[in-house]
Amino acid sequence: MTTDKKKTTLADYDLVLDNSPHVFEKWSSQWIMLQVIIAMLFPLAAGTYFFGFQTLYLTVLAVVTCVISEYLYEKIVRKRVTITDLSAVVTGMLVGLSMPNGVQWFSVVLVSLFAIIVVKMIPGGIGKNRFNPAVGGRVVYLMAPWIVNTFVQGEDLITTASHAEAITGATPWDLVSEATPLYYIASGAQEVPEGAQTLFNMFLGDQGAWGGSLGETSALALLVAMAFLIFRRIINPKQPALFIGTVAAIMLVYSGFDFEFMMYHLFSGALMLAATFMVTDYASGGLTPHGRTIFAIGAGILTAVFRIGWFAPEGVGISILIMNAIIPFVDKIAMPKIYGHKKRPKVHADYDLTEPLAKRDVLTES
Amino acid sequence: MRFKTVQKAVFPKHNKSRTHNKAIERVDAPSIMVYPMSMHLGAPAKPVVAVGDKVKVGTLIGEGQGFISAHILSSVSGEVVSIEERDVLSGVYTCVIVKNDGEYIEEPPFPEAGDNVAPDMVPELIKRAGITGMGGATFPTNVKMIPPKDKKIDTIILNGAECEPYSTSDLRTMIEYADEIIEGVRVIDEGFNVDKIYIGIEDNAKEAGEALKKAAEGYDKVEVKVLEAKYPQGSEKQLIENCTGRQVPSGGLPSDIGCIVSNVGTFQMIYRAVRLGKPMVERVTTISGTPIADPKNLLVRLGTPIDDLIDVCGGFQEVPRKVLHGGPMMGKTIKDGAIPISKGTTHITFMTAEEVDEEERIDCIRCSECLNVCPVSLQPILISNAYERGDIEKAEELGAMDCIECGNCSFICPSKIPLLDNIRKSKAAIKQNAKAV
Repeated sequence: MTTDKKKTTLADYDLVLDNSPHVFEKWSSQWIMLQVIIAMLFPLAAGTYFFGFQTLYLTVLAVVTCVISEYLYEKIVRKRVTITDLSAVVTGMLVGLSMPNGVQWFSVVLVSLFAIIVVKMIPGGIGKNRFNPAVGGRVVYLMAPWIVNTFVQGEDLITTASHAEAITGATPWDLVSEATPLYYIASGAQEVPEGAQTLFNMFLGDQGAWGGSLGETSALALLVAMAFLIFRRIINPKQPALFIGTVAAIMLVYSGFDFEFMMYHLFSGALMLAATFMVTDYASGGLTPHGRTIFAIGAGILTAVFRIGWFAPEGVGISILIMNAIIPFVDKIAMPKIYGHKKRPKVHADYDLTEPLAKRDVLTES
Repeated sequence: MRFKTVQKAVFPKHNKSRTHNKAIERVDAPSIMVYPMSMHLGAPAKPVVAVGDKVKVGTLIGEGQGFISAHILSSVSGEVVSIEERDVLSGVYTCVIVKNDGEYIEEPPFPEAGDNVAPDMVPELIKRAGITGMGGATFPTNVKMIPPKDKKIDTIILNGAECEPYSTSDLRTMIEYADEIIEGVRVIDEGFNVDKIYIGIEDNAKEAGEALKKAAEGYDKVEVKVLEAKYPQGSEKQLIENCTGRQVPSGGLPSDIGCIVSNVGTFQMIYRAVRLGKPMVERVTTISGTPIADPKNLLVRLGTPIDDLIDVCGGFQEVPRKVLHGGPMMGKTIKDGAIPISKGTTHITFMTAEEVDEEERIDCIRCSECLNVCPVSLQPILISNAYERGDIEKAEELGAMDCIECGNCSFICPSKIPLLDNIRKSKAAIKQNAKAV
């Protein structure tokens, strides 16, 4: 060391003091949402290919409605504006992809509004919604004609009408979507009916003239999206695997080990879309590792039951909503066992895991 | 490529390559040395010298107080010039300031030391040598080495898993002092006669594993466990679980499940104290980080102020913004360059302003990554939420006190929620409540 050179000391520098850790993973919640948006571009492209320009136009409409409604809601109730986190865009795209072929534009706007305002914002916004906004919107929309017909007009559309009547008789609720190939193989059928598309065509997304939702038509595009999300570390591969695996196993046993029948089930309806984007939803899909496992298996069992029993026109969606409703309770009893403890941590039964932050009871503060 | 699963660990970007292959370099002690009376966990030592006293290398200058405490020894020869209160890392403590005469005259070695030391004498010698754990927690080693009355110790674990992303001091110690480390293990093994000895290292330190295997040839109890390089692999509880499959009970000690765990460097010091009769007066520490021009692994005399090590490592090539005693995951920030290298200084990390930029916090999206990375399986976001709501009781029910403060949750959080900060505050509040009752 030379003596003429001034000694380097920390006092010469402007240093900060704070708490560990001092490094962070290079990602953010916006980035995660952006990855989901990118993944949704695959089914969006497939939908645009098979159903034409309307897919793109309706999805953009849904996104715009979701973002604007979230912004306006937050302005009106004077909350912090959260549209920059991109979660409203994700909801909008999922709503768009869930809409059936030939849907009216105002239906898309109404469903988007319902999803954002009723399902997402009123319970408290991002991370605090118990139900998946897009699934909530989708189920209410697709159940509407059934409800109207059953309870208002007094006849059960699904069970009494032939599928042809179901399609035509469903206006103005454009029920076209439900005449997917699923209509033929579900409803108690135990084998693949005559006239169905080949398995390979269904895998690619060509569901024939039977329609289907805009984004759920191509299993291939959805599997690509799923792989993208798995490799980007956005979703846990366990969840789609357990969900699809449960449905596949039940269908295989139910059909007497008819492999082809099982594959038709996997490639039709909302199953792949749900496995990729709905079962894996952060806010409504459970918090604990066990909770997420149970969510995926439970949704799979319910989906299979609804498909076999043809209980309602929206088996996958309803399954997910039912699991959304019960998963906070599952999480509470399935909390991970802490290192060095023999029992799981216990919290009071009335404890709400989704309770918003910093909510103080002024009555107890004297 | 890692998928999103329950990993109980994180993988911060490693920056060990700059010092990985650099041999340990001895550095001259400066003229002024600082000895805080607390270089260890437990009660601070009491100064036993006065201003004007002459000291030698190994002279007792602070006497350990109580059961969990450690002696402070001089690491240079010279004169005590001041005894004053100073704000060092863990708080304000009495510091003995010694003016180094550059002679390094040593105290005579402990007379009891040698090749045949009675097992009862070992903890005493370790205590006299002032040895504490060298991995960072600085628990007094002699306390660990006193056999518990009602429990049988059957496993010794050497912690060579250096999971902080900049540290290479243990790596170099294992490569260059493998024989001394294994000899230190023999010393302890003679007293406990254990069934199994594990040396836990990460898979990025294979050379160290080879060196230790060579040193332990013919010593069949020793097994080098090559573990995945992940954080916090070197945490005591996690290392025990990964080596033996046992879990330390909540609030308990490793000895409760028959284990003694200590850092590899500690065993080297045990060898020197028990076989050679030498006190712990120096340690290997890594000086690294982007601002440092020539990062190094240094053999530093304890009490050397950090300011005196910067120029040794080529000075700064970039302006530092954060200086850490330790690494970026658990290190404490330092502003005062007079803070000395102490018994637990594994490394000093310097970071630039770019590296410490923090992003703004946004809402939790419930991705549950904090649950996936927690090595003790807590639910950090729920504890944090409970704290922010003012519900300390709930934070305790959710296991806040079991937190090992590794920082994984804050590291991974994509919404940049200060999870560990909130858990720390919960722990402080819980302790306060317990005192009040």
